[in-house]
Amino acid sequence: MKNILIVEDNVEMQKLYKNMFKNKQDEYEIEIEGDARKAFKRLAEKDFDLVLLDIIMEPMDGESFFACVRQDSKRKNIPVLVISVLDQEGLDYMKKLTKVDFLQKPVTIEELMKKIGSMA
Amino acid sequence: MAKTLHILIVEDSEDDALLIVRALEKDGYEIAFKRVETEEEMRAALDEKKWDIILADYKLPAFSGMEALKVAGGRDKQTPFILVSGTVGESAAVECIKAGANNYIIKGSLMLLGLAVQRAIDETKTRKENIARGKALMDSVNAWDTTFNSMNDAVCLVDKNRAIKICNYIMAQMFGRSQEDLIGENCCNLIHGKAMPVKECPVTRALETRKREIEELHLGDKWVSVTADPVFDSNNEITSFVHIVRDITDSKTMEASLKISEMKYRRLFETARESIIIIDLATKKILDANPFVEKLLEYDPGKIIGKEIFELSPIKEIFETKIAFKEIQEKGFIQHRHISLQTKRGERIYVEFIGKVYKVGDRDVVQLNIRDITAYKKAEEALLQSEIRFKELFENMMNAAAVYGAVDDGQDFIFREFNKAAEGIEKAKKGELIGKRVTECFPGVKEFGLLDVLQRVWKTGRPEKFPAKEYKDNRISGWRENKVYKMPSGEIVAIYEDLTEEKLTQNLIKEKGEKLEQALDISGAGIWEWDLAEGVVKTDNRFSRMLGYGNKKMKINIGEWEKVHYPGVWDERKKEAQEYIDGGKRLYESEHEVKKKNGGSIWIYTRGKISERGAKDEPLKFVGIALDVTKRKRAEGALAERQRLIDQVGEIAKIGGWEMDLEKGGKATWTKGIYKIVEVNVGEPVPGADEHVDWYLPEYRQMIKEKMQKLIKTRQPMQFEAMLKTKKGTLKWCQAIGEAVERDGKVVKLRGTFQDITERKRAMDALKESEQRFKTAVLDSPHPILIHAEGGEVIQISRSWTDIAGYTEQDIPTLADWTEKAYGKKKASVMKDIKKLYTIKKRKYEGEHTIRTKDGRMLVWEFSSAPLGSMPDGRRLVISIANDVTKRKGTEEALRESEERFRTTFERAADMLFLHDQKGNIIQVNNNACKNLGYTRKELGNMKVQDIEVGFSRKELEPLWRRIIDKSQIARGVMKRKDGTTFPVEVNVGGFDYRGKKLLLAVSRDITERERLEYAKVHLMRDVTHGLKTPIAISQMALYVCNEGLKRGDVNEVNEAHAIVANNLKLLRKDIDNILTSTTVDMRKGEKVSSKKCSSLKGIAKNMTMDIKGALEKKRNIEVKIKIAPDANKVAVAPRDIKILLNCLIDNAAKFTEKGAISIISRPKKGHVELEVKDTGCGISKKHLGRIFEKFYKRHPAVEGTGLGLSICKDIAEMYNGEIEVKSEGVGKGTTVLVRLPKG
Repeated sequence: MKNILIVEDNVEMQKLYKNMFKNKQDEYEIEIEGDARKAFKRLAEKDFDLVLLDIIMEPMDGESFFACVRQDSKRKNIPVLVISVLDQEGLDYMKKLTKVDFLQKPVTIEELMKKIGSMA
Repeated sequence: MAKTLHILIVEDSEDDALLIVRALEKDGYEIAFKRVETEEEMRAALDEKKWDIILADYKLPAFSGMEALKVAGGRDKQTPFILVSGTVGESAAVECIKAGANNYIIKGSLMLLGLAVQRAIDETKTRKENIARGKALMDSVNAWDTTFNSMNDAVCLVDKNRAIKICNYIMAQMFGRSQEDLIGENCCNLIHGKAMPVKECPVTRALETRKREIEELHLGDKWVSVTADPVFDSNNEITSFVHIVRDITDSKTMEASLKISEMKYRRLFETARESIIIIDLATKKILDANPFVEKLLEYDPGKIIGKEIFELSPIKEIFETKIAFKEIQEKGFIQHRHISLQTKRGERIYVEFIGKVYKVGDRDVVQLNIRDITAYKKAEEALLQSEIRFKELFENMMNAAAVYGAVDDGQDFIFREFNKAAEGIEKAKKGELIGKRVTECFPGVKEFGLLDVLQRVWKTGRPEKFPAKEYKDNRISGWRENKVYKMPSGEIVAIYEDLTEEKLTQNLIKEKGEKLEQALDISGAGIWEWDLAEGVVKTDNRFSRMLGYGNKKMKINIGEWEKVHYPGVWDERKKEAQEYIDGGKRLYESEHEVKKKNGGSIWIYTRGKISERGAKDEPLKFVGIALDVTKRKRAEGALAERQRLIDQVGEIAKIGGWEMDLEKGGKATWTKGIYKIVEVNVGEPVPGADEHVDWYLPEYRQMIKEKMQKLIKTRQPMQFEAMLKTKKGTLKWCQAIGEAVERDGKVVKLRGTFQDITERKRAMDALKESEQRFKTAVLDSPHPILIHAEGGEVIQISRSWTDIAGYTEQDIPTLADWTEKAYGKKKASVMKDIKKLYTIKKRKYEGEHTIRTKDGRMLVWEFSSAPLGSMPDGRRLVISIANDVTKRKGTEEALRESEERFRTTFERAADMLFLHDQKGNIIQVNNNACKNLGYTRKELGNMKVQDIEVGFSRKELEPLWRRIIDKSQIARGVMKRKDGTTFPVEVNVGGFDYRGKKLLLAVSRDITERERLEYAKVHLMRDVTHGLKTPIAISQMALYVCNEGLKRGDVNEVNEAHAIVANNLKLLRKDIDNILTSTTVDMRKGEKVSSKKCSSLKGIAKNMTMDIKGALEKKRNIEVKIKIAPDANKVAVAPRDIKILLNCLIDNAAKFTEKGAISIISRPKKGHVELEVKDTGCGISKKHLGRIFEKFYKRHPAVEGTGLGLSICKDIAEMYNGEIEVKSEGVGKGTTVLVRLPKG
């Protein structure tokens, strides 16, 4: 059983993630957090095997979250998968997001699971 | 008036001329004059001589006063001119004065002439002086102007408070500032960074002394010479100082090392314990001599210099000196040559000298190290003479003498010498005895007892007397009395007498008194009889003869006897006699000196006895014989003298004699001198040859052995110098000289002298070293150096002189050659300057000179010269040191150019430029920087980069600057203007070498515009695409989930997905509507619309809000209030546009409001309608308020929508000449949008 933290502020997306993982409950236990600041705290409280990360969020965006994770000595090694509507070019503008695993929305359940499988 | 006044009188009347002369003579002038009548005469007179004054008649038959004035040339001709006439009118006189005459005098008032003449002469003189002074002044002003700025020294004029009044270019350059900039600066502060003058400040001193003061100061790592020259005003008050600062570091260093070398050399030269003379090899003249020489030869200091070496030799020996000198010329050196010199008073002095040739400049000189060996020589000479005397004496003395050499370790002796007297006594020929053993020739010698004495004397060296005894062998017998000495050579001398006859005589006296006379005659003895009772001494013929009385018997009163023959010593003689009389001795015996009657003295040997006694046994008569032993005595004296001399010579010369007996396995004997040199106690055993060689340091041993072997083989005298270590461990340089002694064609002995030459060696080595050092300092100096003597002779040039300029010593034997070649046309003025150098007392800086090298290149050399004492001949020496500054000059030029280029570029650059040091201190900025930051140049000059660059912290900046010293780097920063606003910059910082300092040049560019564009680009893409793509992406993903749900038959999941899709499609549609509206409005922008159709706000607002009102209130608990004033209902805006406007505003209000109310209010305002849409939502922060009307601008990309709403509203309002304004009290305090629209 792998623990996955999903950082996503869009309520509809949160619903969709829940449904997408509905059938994988024996494989993955997911926790969804809409506020990236809270999500960062959660990482300290619980060991996660993977973080799914949206980028454009308020008040803390995914870029800052990622930077915080990578700069934190305890959490820097947690695998992070960025899932955003931004394309590669849009991502490249964000300097702190280098060498990141990335999927562009929309993403199919198969795609997502395959990627998660390779990372977690 | 004693001086004769020379007057030229232009006058036709002789009488008038005489009148004039008389008038002047009356005034006390002594007059010499010439009268001329015509122009030709006058010109001739002017050419002939210089006149003190010209007096001219106004009217002449063939000439006029005015014409004469023209001929004289007016005032400018410098000869005073006075018009003298009986007829001259007022106007003519004025005309004359105007034309240049000094004065005019009417013949009727000639008594005024004297005064007029004096005044005219004075006037002319003053005028002449003024002209000269004026010209000089002009010249000096011009010279000042041209030289001031081209001077190589930093020069400034400071006032009494040391504030700079003027300064030259170099001065400004020294401090990296402009000339104008330095004016008013306090020079203490500028140079030393102190408010108070430093204690050595020459200005302080000059204020007191009121004359030029010079000080050499250490500034940082440089030496500068600072001059302060007071400038006086007409009241003789000091008004200011000319202050000159000159960098003398190079020369100072050079000078110091030269001084040391020269001082060392000089000191050695002056204090050497040996005499040193330096002679020019070519001219044979003495160039230098140290005080030792002067003392030795009794010359006054300096007086010996310039003499020829031969002048110092006694006439007899000039030839010898010349030979020695020739040898030096040929071989380059000469060693241990003995010559004699003569003191100034003519006394002869023996010297030994060592000479060596070396080069000084282009000439060869000989250095002679001279040792005074007079004492030694004199002793030697005396010895030689005494030797001759001794030989003569030895041969001819009446006493017998034999010289023995010890053999068998002193057990036996062989005859070396045997004199005539001895031959007679022993009835043997010298030739038969020499080389034979004494025991062989005189077999009875042992029994006789003499052998023992000989052995003892040989061993102890102490002389012994062997009293009379009878010798007997088969051949000969007789009474002998011996005195035995040991000579310094080790030989034993026995001087003896045959006393046989005396013995016989004694017997005869006893036996036959009458035969006495005869016997005495034979023995040669004189007889004396002292009649004690009578008080007279009687002498026989022989004794009288001895005492100088002639061949007759004498009877001398005892008083006179004492006075004539024993003056001062009679008591001694009497004492001797008394001892005998008192009965102590059997026989009276004495050897003493007796004065002869007419001067001179003899030594006598005398014996006697009491011949008659009185009744009480008191002595009455005392009789004796006397023998003349003068010759023997003198021989003895000569021997003693010889010994003393040898010792003395050895002492003086630190010399000793040695002998090595090859027949005895190299057994050696030494004189005292050697013991002393090798520090061995006299009398200790002398080591054999091999052992002795081991005393020398190992490197010399082989050489010494070879020399000795060669000596034995070739019999050529040997000589060597080597270092030995004495038993006490002292290292000494010694010189040994040896020769072979042959006998029968075989070398049997080596003998010679041994001398301690340590001091000489040491002095020579030290001298050589000092000389070398001095030469090296000059020759190998990196600076071109030329040493020259008064008169222009080039004494020495350094190698670098040749290396740089190409001239060798042969090329420039004199300064005339040098200036000719190097300066060409300018040589005369340069030579003039050089001539002045011989009087300088201190180092003088001569400035830069352009010189021509041998191969025609032009170089710039900076010269300075210093006095270097005098040549032995009194010519002063100057050392001129050059510094090739050609490269520096070129570099300076290039630097100036590049500086110029840099400055222009710097100022004109479109970017902001900052030149600053590594601490951030701003050194220079350009105009653009000032303009952009709003500071003045001066303000920025006092600031640090950190004050204006706020994008980086101080901690970040300084390491950054250190890193980029050699490679430029681009960084983004933020700069702060004077008014506190900031702007983004892109800074290109690079290391920059500026006047030897590592500086940084920051090229900054305001990138506000660029950043804005970039921002727009990035955010447009990010925000807009995000806004549009998100609903699509969510919808799509919802569909994937929906599919899953369908597959699994999960209705909830399907419904949820449907709702998501529906909602997102709605959002998407709104966004697309917004974009389309914006595009449409955008296309209409610029066209000013005045709508014919009016809209009713009330109706439209109501209709619109109806759609959302219910939903909003229900869902979010938001109340919608509409309050349209009746006189503010109609607006002249197309309803379509009002709809869009209101829609956007309400939509926004709804989007950002969670609870409370949204009010739509309209009111009339200044002929407009003011429409207000107010909410109680999250408000807008100040940061966003300014940009809220920008297209696509959103508070945050995560915010829903396109960010086009307000921009659309603005476009619409402006289209109708309306205005729009957004107000917010801040975050959480709601938002109010005010739109003013034209009234309908």
